Parts: sequence; structure tokens; C-alpha cells
Amino acid sequence: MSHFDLEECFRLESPIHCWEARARVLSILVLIFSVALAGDIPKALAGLAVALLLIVISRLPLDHVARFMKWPALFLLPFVIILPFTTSGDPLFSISAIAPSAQGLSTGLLFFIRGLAAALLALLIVATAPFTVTIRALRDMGLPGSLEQIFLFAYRYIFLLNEELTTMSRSMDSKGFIKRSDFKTARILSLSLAMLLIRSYERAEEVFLAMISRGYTGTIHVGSRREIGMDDILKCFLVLSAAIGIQAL
Amino acid sequence: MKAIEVENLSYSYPDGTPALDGVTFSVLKGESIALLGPNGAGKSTLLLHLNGLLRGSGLVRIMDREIEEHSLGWIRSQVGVVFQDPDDQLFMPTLKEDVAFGPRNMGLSEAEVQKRVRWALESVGLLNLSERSPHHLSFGQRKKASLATVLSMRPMVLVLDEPTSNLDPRSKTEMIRLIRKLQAEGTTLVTATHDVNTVPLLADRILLLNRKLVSNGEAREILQRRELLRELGLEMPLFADLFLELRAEGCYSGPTPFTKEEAKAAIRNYFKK
Repeated sequence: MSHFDLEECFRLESPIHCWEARARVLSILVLIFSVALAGDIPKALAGLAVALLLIVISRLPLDHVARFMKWPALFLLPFVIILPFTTSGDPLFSISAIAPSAQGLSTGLLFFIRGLAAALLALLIVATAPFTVTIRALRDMGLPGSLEQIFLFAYRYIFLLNEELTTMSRSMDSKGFIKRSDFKTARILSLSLAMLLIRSYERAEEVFLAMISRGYTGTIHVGSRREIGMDDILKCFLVLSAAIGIQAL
Repeated sequence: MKAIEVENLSYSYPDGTPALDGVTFSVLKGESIALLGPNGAGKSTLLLHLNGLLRGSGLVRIMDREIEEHSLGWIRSQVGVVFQDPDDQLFMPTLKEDVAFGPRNMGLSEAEVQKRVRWALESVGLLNLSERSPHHLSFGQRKKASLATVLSMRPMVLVLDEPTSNLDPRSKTEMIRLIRKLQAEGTTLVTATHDVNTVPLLADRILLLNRKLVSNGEAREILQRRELLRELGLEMPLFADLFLELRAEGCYSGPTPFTKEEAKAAIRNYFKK
């Protein structure tokens, strides 16, 4: 399987998986905020350590986690590379005009570590329960119904759009289209993206008809939820303590 | 009792293209009919009228109740529509949620919803995949799943748009068996299809449509009318076509076979003579 298979992860059994959804989402969101507000590298490293510990407890396969994390890491890496050269401060070393600053490196590393920790924690939210359960928890916490439906459909149809994009790309390749860095290529790619939008619009109309035919009147009804137990509260307490602890360091 | 009554139904698309012109027919409770016609004949458009998704001029009654604004909720719980493309039908993140969508909109208790979800998924043989996302199912499984999403509403009338299209032979056989089983349990079925070879297996009666109702009659009788079918760009079922030609050449005189079993019996009888 080429993409990160969340469904395989939902079926795992761990203390994180059996944590009540609202309690889990709320506690981990607080922890993410705490990590994001970490003002120095030791605090950020503590946040990363907590995130890694939770990942281990969740029993998510580490190769899956690594595969998922390569994208946030790639996105965050430029901070470590660029900031030392764009932030003024004490030079780490100097080669002719190139003198990366210690302050820049420190800021870059701080962003990098905070970002990695936050991405790991976000992964914990989405990979330890079916998407509908997580979205339901968010709705219970005040997420507007329209946003809930957008998230639900985005999750369902993003894969379909990807398949359609792949089909269109193969079709173009089969007709001898070669991607180059020229205006013609840009024009053809824009046209194919426009076609994808039109297809998506047509699909949306069909989906809407299918929903109406099954009694949809504007609200998506979801099943009953389980109550929050003592063990859920204990887990909340531990995670929130970690969030406070990171700030108190 | 009539499950469906359509009287003088006409409909044009917003751009003015006529789709249906004065269509009149009725379907008895528990009957299975096939809607046959070329591309653009208005088959899918007609199906959408049976659930109140489109509203043309004329009259549509389901179980003696006219489709009107205030009866739409009831109509939609009684007439289940299975769309041609399963990706239009399966819009929730998991199969289970999708199958529960209709019953929950009907306001049923969660216990009843779960009971129906289980029954519907069991009926189509997908109970073990209930937690899966639709994008992780094969096309054949998605087709069956589409049917389950409607079965869970236990509709009196089931409207199917090309239920066997793009299915491999095994999935096609399973789908036909399932449709017949539903009919045996009392469901009224309306199936739009191009696949003339499956019609004798699926339906007792045919409505031949080309914007207007061209013919309405017993399936095996209509499927032998070569000229009529050709005029509409349709073909005869393979076995019927072959044996009618043999009859025209004076080589065969028995009843026209429509299925492999019937053809096998006809050939066996021929060689016995």
C-alpha cells in the first residue's frame, strides 16, 4: 500500500485507542498547544519526548509513523537550513561571506522540533480512531455542522479525486504528453485541473442526489457515543499534566 | 395492488432538452420490471422521478400515494434508489456509516439502525468489511455496498440504475441472485439496464423507453422483437438471437431460449431427435 493506511491503525488495541474520543481529542489538542508554545529547545524536546512516548503507547507501527512524518519533516527542514543564514547573531563559523548564526540555528531547531512534536500528536488524533468518531468528538466540542460535513466528504472524496487525477495523468501520458518547463505544459496542466474541478462539481451533484434520495435534509445523524469513564479522566489528567509540565520546565 | 403508477409524465432538462414525453405505466407490488432503452432514452431520468428527486409534469404515485412536497419523506423511505456509479452512492467515510445513513434519517432508534445495518450488510455479503472505507473496496464490492445502503431502509420499491454494469461475471451472477431474492421477499423492482442478456434473469416485464414509452410487455415477448430492438439501437439477447436465426433457417422449432440452461436444454433436445 503506497499511502499511510489509517484504517489498519484504527483496528489496533492500545490505551490511546480505547480512550473516549472527546477526552482524547481535547487532551491531545491542549498538549499540541503546549508544545507549540514551547519557548526554548529543552521545552520543545520535552514535548517531542512526550509525543514519542504516546506514539509508542499507541502501538502505531513505527514504519507507518516514519512514512507519515517524512512530509512534515521535509516541510520543516527549510527552517533549520535557512534561518541560520537569515537571522542575525553570533556566527557559528565563517567561510568568506557565509556566517550562519547560532541564534538562527537555535530558532530553526526550535521550529523543527515543535513542528515534529505537533505533527506526531496530530497523527495520534487521526490514527487512533475512525474518522467519523474523531469528527463527532470535534462536533461535540463545538465544530459547526457544515464544517463537519466538509471534513467528512473531504476525507471520503480526496482519494477518489486522487484516482481521477491519476487516470487523467495516465491518459495524457498515453497520448504522448511530456511535462516540460514551458507555457504549453502549464496550459495543459491548468486545463486538466479545470476538468478535474468540473468532474468534481458533477460528482458533487450526483452525491447530493444520492443523499437526498436517502432522506438527507441538511443534517448528518451519527450514532450514540460512549460515556467518559474514570480511566478516560485519568488519561486526561496524565496528558494535561505533561502539557503543564512542559510549560513549567 | 399497484406499487408504482406513472401517468403522462413529461420532463425537460433546464437547458430545454426533452427527456421524457408523456410516459404512462404501472408496476404491481412484488413485480420486477426492466427499463430498456438506448443512451439518452430517459431511463435514469425516469428512475429519479420515482423517488421525487426530479419533478416533471404528470403524476407519480407510490403505493397509491402521490409524490408531493409533504409526502417526500415517506416516499424516500419507501423507494430506494441505487445509482449507477457506486462512488456517488457511498459518501460516508466507512461502509457501516454509509449503510446507517438512511435509517438514521428515518429517525429510527440506534438499536434498530444497528440491526438494519447488520442485516443489509449480511444480505450483500459485506458484513466483514463494515469498518472499511469505500475507497478500499473493489468495484464489485462497492456496487453491492451501494445496494446495502438502500436495503437498510427496507424500501417497498427498489430502483436500480445499471446494477450489473462493469461487474465481472461472478459479481454479476451474485447481483442478479440478490435482486431475485429481494423480489421473492416481496420487494418491487425497477431496473434500468443496457444489458439485454441479463434482462430475462432480472425481470418479468420490460418497459421499452425512448423518451416515450415505446413498448410495455412480457420480457421474453419483447426481447424477441428484433426489428423493434434494432430501431432503438439495442440487440437481442445472444441465445435468443441465435436460436431465432436457426428457426428462420428451418433448423430449430422449439421455444426460444434466453439463458445458458435453456439453450443447453434446447441443443440437447435437438440432438436427441
